[in-house]
Amino acid sequence: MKKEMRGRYDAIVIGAGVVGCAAAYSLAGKGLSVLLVDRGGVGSGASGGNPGFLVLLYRECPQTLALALKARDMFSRLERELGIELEVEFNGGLIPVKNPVEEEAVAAVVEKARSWGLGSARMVTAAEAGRLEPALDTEGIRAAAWCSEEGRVNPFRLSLSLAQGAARLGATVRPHCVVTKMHLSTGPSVRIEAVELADGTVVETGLVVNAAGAWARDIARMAGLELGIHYHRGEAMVTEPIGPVIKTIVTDGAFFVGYHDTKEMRTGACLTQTRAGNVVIAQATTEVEEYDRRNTYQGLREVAAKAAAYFPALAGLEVIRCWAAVTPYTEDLLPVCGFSGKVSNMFVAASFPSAVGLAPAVGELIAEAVTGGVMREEFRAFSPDRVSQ
Amino acid sequence: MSEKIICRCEEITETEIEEAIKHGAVTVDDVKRFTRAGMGLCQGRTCWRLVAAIIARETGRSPEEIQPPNRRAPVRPLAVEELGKAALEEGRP
Repeated sequence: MKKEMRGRYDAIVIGAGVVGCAAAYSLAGKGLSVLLVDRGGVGSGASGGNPGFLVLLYRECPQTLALALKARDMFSRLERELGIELEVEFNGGLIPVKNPVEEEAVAAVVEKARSWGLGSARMVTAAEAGRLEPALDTEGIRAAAWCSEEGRVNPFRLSLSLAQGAARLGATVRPHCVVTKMHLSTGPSVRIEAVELADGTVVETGLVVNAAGAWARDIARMAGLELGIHYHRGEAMVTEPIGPVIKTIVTDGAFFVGYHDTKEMRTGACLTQTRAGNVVIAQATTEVEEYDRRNTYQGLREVAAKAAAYFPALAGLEVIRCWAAVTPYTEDLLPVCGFSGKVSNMFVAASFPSAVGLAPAVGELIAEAVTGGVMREEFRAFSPDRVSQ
Repeated sequence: MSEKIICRCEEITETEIEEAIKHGAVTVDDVKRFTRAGMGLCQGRTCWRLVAAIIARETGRSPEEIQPPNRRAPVRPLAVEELGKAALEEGRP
């Protein structure tokens, strides 16, 4: 993987999260010379701090659902190409609801998904939910949303293997490499001529892909672009490994009620069990101004209590680690993905909700847009221009 | 290269760690994400120094330069119900 850095690249991808790694892989696959850099390790931000849910049920719009379906169909090909087991499982996803307000909100989510073509999305009774997820305590559950096509992936393996795949295709991969500055030329629009790294190296480039996740705003600012991106912190925990208990991916119905009406912490039980047997329990969500990855006692204990209420079998399991990840979001909740109208050679690819379930398809979309010089019409709604000043 | 177990919780060998370093891991946390070394019950308390020593040896740095992994709560394993209890007592969820 280690290889000398060149003086110039066709594209510099900033951010080795799952989206940046996928972009580097697809761009290198198109024959472009690519430099992939990250201020930390590969997948060390939100891409390593999420439970690996491959979400279909609660996608934001028909376009993200289409990308998620395309990504889902790419995993087995990727495993062959990358030569790694990504621990993908499609055992379905469940959203239990506890009261009429949650039921109404979640039923609306299901209706929307069905209208966008996700025929496998439906509401099920509490008894059916109990059959689909036998460890779930259905007492106190009114109903649930169910989609048999949802699943999970090992998020570490996905980012790391895409980065390694990009390197095999000729990309230079440089984790722990901080971008400090951009050299710009101004004309009718700003253009990035080169990117400067912390050690003083200046690398010329034809294009910058800003896939910096929680740092996307800072990277854009280096080119004079202000992105209207906000941050969520999600807190989670993982238990010691046990034999199979939880089959599906479980999302708390509470997360679908008045989600963006409050800046208060919101907690719910979202769970899955990894291939290794550890149970991942998420999450407490808080809006944060800065990059704050601290855990809170309030968040952790509420999530733990709610998880134990859904799944009594987990009560005695030992929690071995807690963590938090910071993810960007926009006011319209859509991804920011496209060329900037203000900085002619910056492509922004950030703020993807549940990015692991989209990334392989997003990588291909970026490669297609970059080589063709234009973003596909149906994805114009993701344009960074709608959130930039 | 050896089949010596470095992370006892996850049974990760020295060879697997060397392989991860070859693929670009340069910190203890990088090695963890590549191999699961340090993801087990003891959270790397036993093995992180061994991992750091291997990174130092393989990358030609001194062991003192290798940072310890990120520390996170809980300090020692804590049952889900124990963690949740305080919330239930307050009648919160």
